[in-house]
Amino acid sequence: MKLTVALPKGRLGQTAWEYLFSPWAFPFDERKLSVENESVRVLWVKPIDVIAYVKMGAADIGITGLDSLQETGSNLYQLQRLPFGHCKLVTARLKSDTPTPLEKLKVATKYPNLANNYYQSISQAIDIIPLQGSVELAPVIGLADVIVDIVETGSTLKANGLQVDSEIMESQAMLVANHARYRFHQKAIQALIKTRSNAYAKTD
Amino acid sequence: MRWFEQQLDRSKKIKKLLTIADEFAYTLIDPPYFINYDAFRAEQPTMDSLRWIKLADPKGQVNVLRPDLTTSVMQKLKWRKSDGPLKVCYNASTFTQSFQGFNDAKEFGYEYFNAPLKSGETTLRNTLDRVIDGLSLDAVIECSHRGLLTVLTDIADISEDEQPVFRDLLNQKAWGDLTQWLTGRKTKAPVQSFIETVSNYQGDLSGFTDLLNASEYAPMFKSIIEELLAFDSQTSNAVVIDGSMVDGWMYYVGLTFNVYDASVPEAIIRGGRYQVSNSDIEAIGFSVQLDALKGGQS
Repeated sequence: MKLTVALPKGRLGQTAWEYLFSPWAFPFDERKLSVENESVRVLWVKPIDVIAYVKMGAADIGITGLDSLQETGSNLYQLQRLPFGHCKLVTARLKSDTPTPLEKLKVATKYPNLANNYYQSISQAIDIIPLQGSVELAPVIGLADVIVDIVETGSTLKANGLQVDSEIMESQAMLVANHARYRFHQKAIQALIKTRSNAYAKTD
Repeated sequence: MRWFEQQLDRSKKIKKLLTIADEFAYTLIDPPYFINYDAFRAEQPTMDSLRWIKLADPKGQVNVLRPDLTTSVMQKLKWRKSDGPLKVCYNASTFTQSFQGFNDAKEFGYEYFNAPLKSGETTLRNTLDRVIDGLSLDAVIECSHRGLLTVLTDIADISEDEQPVFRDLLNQKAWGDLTQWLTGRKTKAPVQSFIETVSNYQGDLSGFTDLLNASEYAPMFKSIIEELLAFDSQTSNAVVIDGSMVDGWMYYVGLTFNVYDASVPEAIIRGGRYQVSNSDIEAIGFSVQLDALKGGQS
C-alpha cells in the first residue's frame, strides 16, 4: 500500500520535503498538488489544511506545526518533533503603545483558541478579531490593541513597529498520523521515521 | 482506495450494519414501551441511534439501553416513570460475567431483564466477530489493557500530577517526547528502557506476552497477560497489541480494544471491560461508532 503524505505548501513544506525525501524520491515541485512514485504519494495543501487531510484519512501522515495542532485540538498521533519549523507564538503590541490595564483587549489573531486560553489563564477579558493573514497590520491601523501570532526572527514585527509582549508557546514542525491509517501503515511509517532520523543525524 | 471510493464503501457498510442490527438482537424482548435514547454513544438521542433502534425494534415499542448506565443517565430517564416502569435490557449487547446484581438500578425504579440473542449464547466471538464479518471489514483489532498504565505508572513511581502528561505522551505515540520526559524526571535507566520498549510495542500477542514475561516485573503483568490471551482466543480476527494505547473511556477496568477498517479514518468499534456502575459486576462490551462509519469526526 502506498503511503500518502500531506505536506504544507510554502517554506515549511520545502524543508519538510527535503527532510523526508531528498535526494532519492522525486523532484520538488509544489505547483503540482499531487505527486507520487511507487511507494509514496505527496499532497501539497495549505498548512492549516494538513490537519484536516490527516484527520479525515485522506492522508496517512502529514507535517504541520505544533501551534496549528494545538489550535485545532486535533486528536492525531504526534509521532515526532522534527528538527525544523521552530518559532514562537507571542503577543505583540505597538512599540509606541504604553500598556495600560484595559477592561477588554481587542486581540487580532489567526489562533483564536490559543489566544483565548492564554488570556483566560491571566484573567484578561478579550474580544477576538479573527484574521487569516497580515495580522501585524491590525494594531497599526487601530483595529486591535494587540496581536497573537507566530514569530520566527521578529523582523516582520519590527518592520511594522511592533514588539513582543509575552511568549505563549514554542512551536516546531511535527510529524502527525491518522489513528486508523497508522494501524495499516505502521511498518512503513516507522521505517520512514527511522530512516530519515538517521539520515538527518548524519548530515547534522 | 481513493477518498470517494472510501465514502461509497462506508455507505455500504452502514447499510450492512443496519441489517445486522435488525437481525441481531432484541427480538425476544417483551416490549413495554419506547424511549428515544442513544444506546451507543451519547447521552442524548441522535438520528443515527434512532434509526438503529427503529430497525432493531420495528414496532417502535422498546428501547434497549446498555447495562453500563451511569447514575446520571438513570436520573435523566426517571421522568418517564410516569408512563410506567422502564425495562432495561442487560444482556443483549454485552457479555456479563454474572447476571446477579443491578440492585442499584432498582433504586431508580428500573427493571432489568435478559434478552438472549437469536443466534444463541452471547459471547464475544459471536458478536464482535459477527459485526466485523457482517460489515466485511478489512479489520485490524488493536488492543491493550488498562492495567498496563497502572503497572507502568507504579514501576516508574509516576505521581498523580504527572499522570495526565504520561498518558498524553503514550496516547499520542510521542515516543521521542516520552524519552525526553522520562529522562527529565530522572526515571531509572532500566525502568525507562522497559517503559519505552513496552509503549513502543506494536505487534502480535505472543511477542508482547514474551516481552512482559521476560521482564523482572513479570508477576505484575500476570492478570494482564491472562486477559489478553483470553481475548485473543475469543475472536477469530487478528489482534495487534499496542503498548501505548491507554486512551478510551476511563471506565474501562481491563481489556480495551478498537477495531479499524482501511476505509474509515477512525475506529469503527470501541470496547473493553468495564465495571457496571455501583456494582461488582464486570462485563466486556463494545459500541459501533456510527459517526465514524459515516465519515464524520467526533
